[in-house]
Order: sequence, then structure tokens, then C-alpha cells
Amino acid sequence: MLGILLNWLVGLLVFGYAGWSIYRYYKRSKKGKCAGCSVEKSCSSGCKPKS
Amino acid sequence: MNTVALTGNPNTGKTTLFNLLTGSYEYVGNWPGVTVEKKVGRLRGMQGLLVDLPGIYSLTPLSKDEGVATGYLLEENPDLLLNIVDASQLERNLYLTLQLIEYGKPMVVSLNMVDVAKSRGYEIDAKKLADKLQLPVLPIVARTGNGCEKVREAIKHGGVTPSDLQINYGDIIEQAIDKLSFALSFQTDLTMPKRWLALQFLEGNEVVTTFLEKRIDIGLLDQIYQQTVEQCRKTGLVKNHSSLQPYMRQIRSKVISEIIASCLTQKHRVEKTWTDRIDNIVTHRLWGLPIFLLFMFLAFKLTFEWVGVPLSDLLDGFLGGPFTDWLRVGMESISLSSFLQAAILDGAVAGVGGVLVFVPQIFVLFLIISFIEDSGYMARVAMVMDKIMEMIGLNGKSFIPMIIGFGCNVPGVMAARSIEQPKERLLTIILTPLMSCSARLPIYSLFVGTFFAQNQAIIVLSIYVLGIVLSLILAKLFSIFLLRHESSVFFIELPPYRMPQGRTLIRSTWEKGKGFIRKAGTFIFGGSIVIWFLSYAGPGGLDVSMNDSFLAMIGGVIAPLFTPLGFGSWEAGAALLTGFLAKEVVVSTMNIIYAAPDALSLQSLLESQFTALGAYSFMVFVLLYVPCLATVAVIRKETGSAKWTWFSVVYGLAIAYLVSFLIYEGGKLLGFA
Amino acid sequence: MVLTDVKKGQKVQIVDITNVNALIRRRLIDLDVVEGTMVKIKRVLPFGGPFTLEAGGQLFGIRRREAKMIEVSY
Repeated sequence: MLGILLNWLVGLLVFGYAGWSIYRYYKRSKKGKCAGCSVEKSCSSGCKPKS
Repeated sequence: MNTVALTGNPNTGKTTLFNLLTGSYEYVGNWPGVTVEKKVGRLRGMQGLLVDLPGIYSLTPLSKDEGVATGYLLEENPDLLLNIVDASQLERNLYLTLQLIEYGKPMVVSLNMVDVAKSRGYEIDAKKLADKLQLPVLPIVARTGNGCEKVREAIKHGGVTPSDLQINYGDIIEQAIDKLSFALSFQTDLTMPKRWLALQFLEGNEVVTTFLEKRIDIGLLDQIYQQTVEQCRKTGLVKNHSSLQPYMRQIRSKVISEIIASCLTQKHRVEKTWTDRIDNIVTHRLWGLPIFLLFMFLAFKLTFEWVGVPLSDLLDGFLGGPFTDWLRVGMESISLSSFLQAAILDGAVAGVGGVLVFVPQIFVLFLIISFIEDSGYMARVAMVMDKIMEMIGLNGKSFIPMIIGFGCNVPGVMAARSIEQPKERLLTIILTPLMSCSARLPIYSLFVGTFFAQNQAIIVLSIYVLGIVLSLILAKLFSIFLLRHESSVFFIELPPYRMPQGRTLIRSTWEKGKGFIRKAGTFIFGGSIVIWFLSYAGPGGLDVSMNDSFLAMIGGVIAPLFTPLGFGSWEAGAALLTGFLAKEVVVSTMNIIYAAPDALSLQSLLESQFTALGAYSFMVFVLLYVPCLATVAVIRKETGSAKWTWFSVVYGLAIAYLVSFLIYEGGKLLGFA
Repeated sequence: MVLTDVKKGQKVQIVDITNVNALIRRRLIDLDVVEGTMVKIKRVLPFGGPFTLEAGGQLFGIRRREAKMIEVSY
């Protein structure tokens, strides 16, 4: 019983973490460098390309 | 919440001070333009945020990174300006200080590099300077942290609001200021003085002009400006050109001269500085370039033969040996299912471990790049390379993003911001991905260790050089066919050399490298599990033989395309496909596919699949084919153009295919196969 | 006389920079290298490469083409 539970737990941990990390990496890559910046919302200078 | 904005001329130590005051760590280097985007940190020991702005000489922006600082002062409303002033270049630094004083916010001035000034024979009376500016002036040496405690105190006390030092610009300009202030009198939401806006507008600051055009009738703005220029011309204040800037600059310079005269004394003259001596060697007319190449060669020797590889081998032995054994025993003891055991050992450990093994090599490389950045050699490399770069339609400064690109292409692409000329900047952005980043290094390491064990450094160096040479050729082609017109210009400041401090070097190496480790623990882990699953499952169910797996099917579809390049196996195809996400994944995928417990057995498996020539061709393909996802995203952001982003992906693929084809087929003809 | 006529190591005074490319002129002004400033050629890189100049203790590099546009006198 304990063995099955442990199996489920480890499986969930491994696959859950794997899925989450891929999702996050994809989101971050898409947003680029500004995503990590704390003035991202009010920032109107650096992130917007000059046309 | 208090917000403190850190401003100053380029390369005066803003980021160093930022790191000291916030306790965080940001990228520091010894060349102008290290900070190309503002950074925010939490002030240590008090409430508030510190914003690190890119270095500027004046508030009138010229290149893109400079626009960030002016834009910040317009859009945000900092509570305090911390102005860092280079004591060894007082005169030109004070120009910005005067413009900031006009901004009217409380200020603290920190006088950095007093040690450098002293070594050049200058003595500055900080008290007298403070009297003249009517602001607190605190002498510091940011590199050693000397005096920074006082700066912290001054910030805590909120600085001093400048008021007394108001420069009179003469009747004509003052009248124009009054007119503009009047026109702005209904704008109640302005957080900055109208006088400052008016002055910046009259000086020709484009960012401020755009700001005002949204608030005041454009016709009126133009009328005031033209009128002022006309009046100045009549009275002879402005000569033939139609800009007020030289005249206003003259007035400020006069004020600065008076300030300097009261507080600066030259004790003795220094004839030959250390910087002169080193420059005599590294920018020597004949040896300059060979010295740079020798330096690069030594860097590769260190990375691949002397330090990096032996350490990597040790790590590999541990991960493949004791670590795997412990893990297996541990998993047996809790009777984990064979499916999960395979997922962890053949997926996570093989994939993540295969990448982690290369951490020592990558850190050695980062240490060398950090040294180049911090010593001041970077700007000299730009100098030495300028002639070659000019011939291909770029300038010496383009070389800086490329060197940074050796570490990681993402900051490399960002570093292109300090290039003034738009065309040269675009070209540099597009070509930076050809610089072989550290994520590609594990792939080379794996292959040279297998096929070229005797000449590792030289073979890898040849790949790097191939990237550089191709980028030069492409730059020439692109500037002929795609981006003509616009003359190329070059200007670079050469900062004094300084010996990088061990602590700073280690920190900046760690900062660059930790992303690699973090990525291994997150994304590479996830990717490895997915890839392992694709190799474990197939149309026939779970635990199928590798050749019947989904991964083999996917890889098999594109494999025939690569046959003419010398690596037409489904394994290579699958590895390359996954490599688009992040280049290290190529190695993870190979580790999983070949199910090798350690690098040694992987190498022997590789030998049965690739010829030496095919392996070289594969490395070249990895070097050149599409930039990774993160780089593509940053190219999109920096160019602001989907067209150029697609272009950079497509030309990469085309060039990779073409060059690998030529190398493989050419090599076969020459009998290397 | 223009800057390229000056020998290495000789200190000269700038007379006119209005013919210099606008971007470069702005940079020169930023560094407080204007009419009246004393400059010295520190080094010249080969094959028509850039010049290293010094003004007010500051080192900087510009191309020969721009140096040609800077009028100077002893």
C-alpha cells in the first residue's frame, strides 16, 4: 500500500515538475528579458522598439 | 515606497554602486554601455527601490540605451536622484549634474573614483564642490566600497532639493522658457519643473519634444523655437546652424569652469600611466591583432585542455558512477516501479547530468569573458577590430556584442543597443547568433572528445572562428544587398585599465553561469522527461525498443534531409529538432537516445554512428542552425520587426545546411571520410 | 590643418568640428571635446585604422575619416 502511494507521489512529482518547468520556460522565453523587470508595467522606454 | 534613480555618465561605476547599495548582483564591466536597460533593486537597510539607469553624458539621447534614461525621467517620478560623478573626469561629468539639478528633484552626488583622480595628480575639495552645487557631495571608491555607508545615510535622509544654483541662460532663452511654461500652465499632472521641460526642448531633446507635442499645439512649439533661434541669430549668439544647443552648452560650460576652478587642483603631472603602457602593447599597430588572437587561443586551451575538461571528467565520473548507483539503490529500496526508475535514470539523470557535466568548462569560459569585460580590454578589442569591421559595413563596437554572445546570445543581442547607427545595430543583432554560445559548447565537447581527442582546443577554436568568419562574410553580403545607404561611423571611449578584483570576477562569472545551472534544473529536466517518454513509448505501447518509439518516427521524418550532410540517422534528426528550444538539449537528447550511463560509453556509441567528418559537419550545423527560442524572442524584441526575426531564423538554417553540405561533401572528395 | 596632418604625440588645439559627422560630433561634444580643446594623437592603427586620441585625460577612438574633418592648430 505504502509502496503504491510512494510510486504515485514520486511519479506526480517528477512529471508535474517537468511539465511546469517547460511551461514556464516557454512563457518566459516568449516574453523576453523585460518579463523579469519590476517596472515592466510602467516601462515605456526600453522595451518598446523605436520605430 | 521611495524610489531612487541612479544616474551618471557611462562607465562611472553606477552598477557597482547599485550592487553595493542593494546587495543584489548586476552585470558590471569596464566599457561604456554595460547597462542598456534599467534595473531595479531593493535598497538594503531601508525602505525603497533603487533604479539603475544606463549611462548618459547628457539628457539628449543619441543611441537607444540613452533614451531609456531620459524616458525614465519623463514617465516615472523618482523621489531622489543619486548622481554618480567620476572624479577623474569632473568637468564633463558635471554637465549632466547641471541638467539633473534643473530636474528639481532631491539629489545626492557621489564622487566616485577619487583614487583614480588622485593617481592622475588631481585633488578635489568635496566640501567646496558641495558648497557650489548646494548638494551633498560624498567621495567614494565604489570598487572597494569605501564611503558607500555615507551614501546610504544621505539617501536615508532624503537628499537635498536643489534650488539655489539656477543658471541664467540670457534674456532670449529665458523669455522662451517663460512662454513655454505659460503654455504648459494648464498641465497639472506634470511631476517635473516646466523650466526643465522647456530647457530640454530648446536644447533639441527629441524624447522631450515628443512628450510636449502630446500636450501643446505643435504649431505653437515650432513657432516659439523658430522665434528663439531667429533672435539668437540676430544677436550673434547662434552662428550659422539652426540649433540652440551649442549656445546653451557654452553657458553651462562656463558655470562648470567656475565650479572646477574653485575645487579642483592639479598637484602634479603624470606623464606615463599604466594604461599607456598596456595600450602600447595591446593596441600596437602590428601586434594588436595577433595578441587578441593569441589571447583567444589561450582562452580555449584553458577551457578545453588545461582546466575545463579535467574537471568535467571528474564530474562525469561521479555522476555516471557513484551517484547513479546510490540513486538506483535508493529507488530499489522504496520499490519504485520500473517505469519511474527508467524515467529518472534514463530520462532525468541522463539528460540533466549530460548537461551538468559541462559546467566546469562553461565557468572557465565565463571567467575569461568576465576578465575581458572588467579589465578594460573589451574597448581595445573594438579598436583593433574596427578596420576589419569597417570593410564589411560594421564598426568595431559590433565586436563587443559578439564577444558577449560567446557566453550567451541573449545579452549579446541586447548589448547591440550601444551601437549608435541603426543599420549597424540591426546587422549586429542578426549576426550575433552565429557566435557560438556556451550552450553549444557541450555538444562540441562531446564530439571532439570522441573524434578529435588529440586536438580538442584547436578543433573547437576552428568552429568558433568559422562562426566569426561567416558572420563577417554575411555582414558584407547583407550590407551590400539588404541594407545599403547610411554611412558607417565609429566612436569609442577607452576607459583606463584596472586589475579585475577576484571577488568581482567570481561574482560575475557565477552570475553568468548560474542561469546555465538553473536551466539544467528546470527546463532541461522537463525536456529530458518528455524526450525520454517519446523514446520509451511508441505506436506499439510502452517500453518499446528505441527504434520503434515515437522519437524515432519523428527523427526519421527529417533524417533523410541530413544524409548529404553526413548525419542522416533518426537520432541526429531528433536531437537537432529538440535543440531549437535550447541548444544544450541536443546533448541531453543524445544521452537519452543512446541510453549511455556516462560520457565514455556514449562516446563509443557515437563512434559507431558518425564518421569524424560527419561529426565535424554536425558541429558546424549545430553552430549555425536557428538561434534558440530565447534568442529568437530577444531578436524580435530588439528589432521590433517580425520580418527580421524570421529572416534570422531562415538564413541560419540555409547557411547551416549549405556550409555543412560543403564541408561534408568537400571533405569526402578530399578523402577525409 | 586637420588632425591627420599632426604627428603622433603632438598636442594641438581644436579649431573647428562642424564638418564632422553629426553622430560623432555629438559624441565629441559629450566628452567635452569642442572648439578650443587640446587633443593629442596617442596611437594610429595600421591600414588606415582608427586613431586613439586623448583630451583632458580621456582616451577615445575615432576613424581616420572623422579625424580628417577636425580642424586644428598648434
